[in-house]
Amino acid sequence: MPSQLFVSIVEIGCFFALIALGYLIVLYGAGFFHFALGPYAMFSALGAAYWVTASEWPLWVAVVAGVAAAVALSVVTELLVVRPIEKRVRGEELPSLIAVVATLFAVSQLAGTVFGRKPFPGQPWMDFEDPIEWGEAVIGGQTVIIVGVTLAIFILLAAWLRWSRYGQWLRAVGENQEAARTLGFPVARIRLAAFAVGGLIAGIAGPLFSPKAGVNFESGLSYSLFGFIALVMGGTGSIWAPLAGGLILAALQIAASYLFGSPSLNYATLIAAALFFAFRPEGLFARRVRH
Amino acid sequence: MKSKAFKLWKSVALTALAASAVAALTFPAVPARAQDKSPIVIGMLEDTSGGASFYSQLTAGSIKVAIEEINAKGGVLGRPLKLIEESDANNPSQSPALVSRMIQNGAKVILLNSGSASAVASKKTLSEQKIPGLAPTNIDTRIGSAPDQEYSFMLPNPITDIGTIYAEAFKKMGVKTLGVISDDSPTIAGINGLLLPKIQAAGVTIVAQEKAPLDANDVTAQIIRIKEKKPDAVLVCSLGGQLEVLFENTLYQQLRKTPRFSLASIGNQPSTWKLAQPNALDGLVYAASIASNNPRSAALSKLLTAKQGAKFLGLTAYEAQGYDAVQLVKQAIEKAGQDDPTLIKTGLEHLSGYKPSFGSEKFTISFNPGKHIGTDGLCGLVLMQFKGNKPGAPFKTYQAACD
Repeated sequence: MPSQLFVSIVEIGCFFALIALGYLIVLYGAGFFHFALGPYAMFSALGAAYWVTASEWPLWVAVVAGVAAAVALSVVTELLVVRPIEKRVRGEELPSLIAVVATLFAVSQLAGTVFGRKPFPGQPWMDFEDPIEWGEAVIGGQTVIIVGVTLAIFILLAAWLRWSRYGQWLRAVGENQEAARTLGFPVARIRLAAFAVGGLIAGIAGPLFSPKAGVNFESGLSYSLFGFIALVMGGTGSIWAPLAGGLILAALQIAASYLFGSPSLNYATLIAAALFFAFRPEGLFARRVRH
Repeated sequence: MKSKAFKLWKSVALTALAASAVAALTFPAVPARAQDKSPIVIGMLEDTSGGASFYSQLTAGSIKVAIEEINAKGGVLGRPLKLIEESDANNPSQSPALVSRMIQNGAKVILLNSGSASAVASKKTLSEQKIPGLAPTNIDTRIGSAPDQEYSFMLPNPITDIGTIYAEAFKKMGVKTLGVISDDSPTIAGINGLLLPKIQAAGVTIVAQEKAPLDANDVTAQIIRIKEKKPDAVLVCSLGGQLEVLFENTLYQQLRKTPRFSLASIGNQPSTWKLAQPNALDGLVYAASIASNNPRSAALSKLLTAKQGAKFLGLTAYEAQGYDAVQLVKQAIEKAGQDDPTLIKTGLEHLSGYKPSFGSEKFTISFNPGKHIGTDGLCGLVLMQFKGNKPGAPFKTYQAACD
């Protein structure tokens, strides 16, 4: 396969990995599948693009504002949607999951209302006048940024989970909230931190990736779906599992497009997801429990 | 007795006079149309959010300027024009219902300002409801051709003319093999069905034909598949916008030395040029419609600069064709003498030799009962070439002459 395709796999894989990582963090800290992270990434990207092109804000101000908006949306979702429903239904997950799926559509429509329903171009964070040549492949500035930021997020998060107090508490709360509460952990605060960190990761992922192909208010659903499939493939057994899942999913999509033409991309994704659901639902990196 | 009879006649006469006065106040004696100041409603089917929105909104802007200008001068037949709008998001399955809605809301003419597929999908509705529709920017030949074309008109050179011009350009350049990359929109599918056979008929072999979805994140695989076939040139068929930028960026990376051609999209969407990587558009040839020798283009450019300020990024085919479409509708209504849609349609069919603000200086637009495609020759099209990421000079290898 031509080397340029590997560059594409890395770019797309990093984006899927970041969305999947956001899911994983909320799963760790709240035991909950936060399906609305895709639209938060979209909202951040669309907001940043809108503020740069229509309001002529400097890029960094617009990106920070987009990320802040994504964090705020995630926190509000926990406080006003997930927590009240979980309190009411005590132990049942389905009602809050349905509510978050509804939130996914609400956030998409909110973005369309606030920023308009026209597609917006993403704003590159960096570009090279002369891109880097690696064999036959060409690597642009934004590609370097995508890889660098992705690795930095994964490394920082791994360190946070391992060595910080909140990071260590996160997993305890996610495993068993009642037990954690009994032991005196600040469960509500830890859950909120998980949602905030998930929103932060999604908020960075959106503007990071949108320079490649732009963004519109309907992009969030596909971000959510691909992030979810990346998490299914990677599993939840390691903080690095989403990265593996993202790269595998991206490789499947790019290889299918190259070998069989672009219509096969969706079929390849569907077949891969079905195979993992059927034969390896825990993903590649499963959590091991010592008996 | 005489005085009783006189009193009776007097009261009858007074009653009749009073009744006449009431009738005169309620039902004016003068015919309605001469005193009618109500707006003439024009409907506009547009795309505000889909794949065609990049150019649909440029056209909508100049349509609104044209209507504002006409109303400021007293309107048409002493009546203002009123624009009502519906967006189909470039989804042709929505178009007939939205066109019907505008007709129900009083539209006497419909400007078809979404994708070509939307215009084609609207033809039957226009024909059944006998409301004329004019597509200012769509290039699908089927809009102005049978079946159901009785009430459908189109302004610009159709895609078959672009095919003719590119076929001639390829012949002059010695291009024998072509790679084609397209988006998967219904509009481009329809356009390719008319364009590519024209190019093939001129002896060019299409060695690779790839597609990408409108929301594609990456097109490297498709471009590499084209690269492997080593075409003499590559043609990009797209609605434009970010996807075409993605196509051009990737082509620049992978096929820098291969001549590239585009339809009328990216070249006429100035807001997308700065999104391309540095120099990614350099050398790209596209079908423009603005010629430096057309004084009407310069005049319109001045008007739009005054009206739109910094929002106006330079005159493109889209703005010029939108403006001209409104002028043609105005002339058709004046010919009709009233806002009856069937008479307006007949008025359009009798417009001849209109000098538009796009195309070469000698280029004209005419319609007749058997000709609903307005262009009178190929010189409504000008092949332009990018220098860096901005349009440079006309393409030296070939330009269409005015008939």
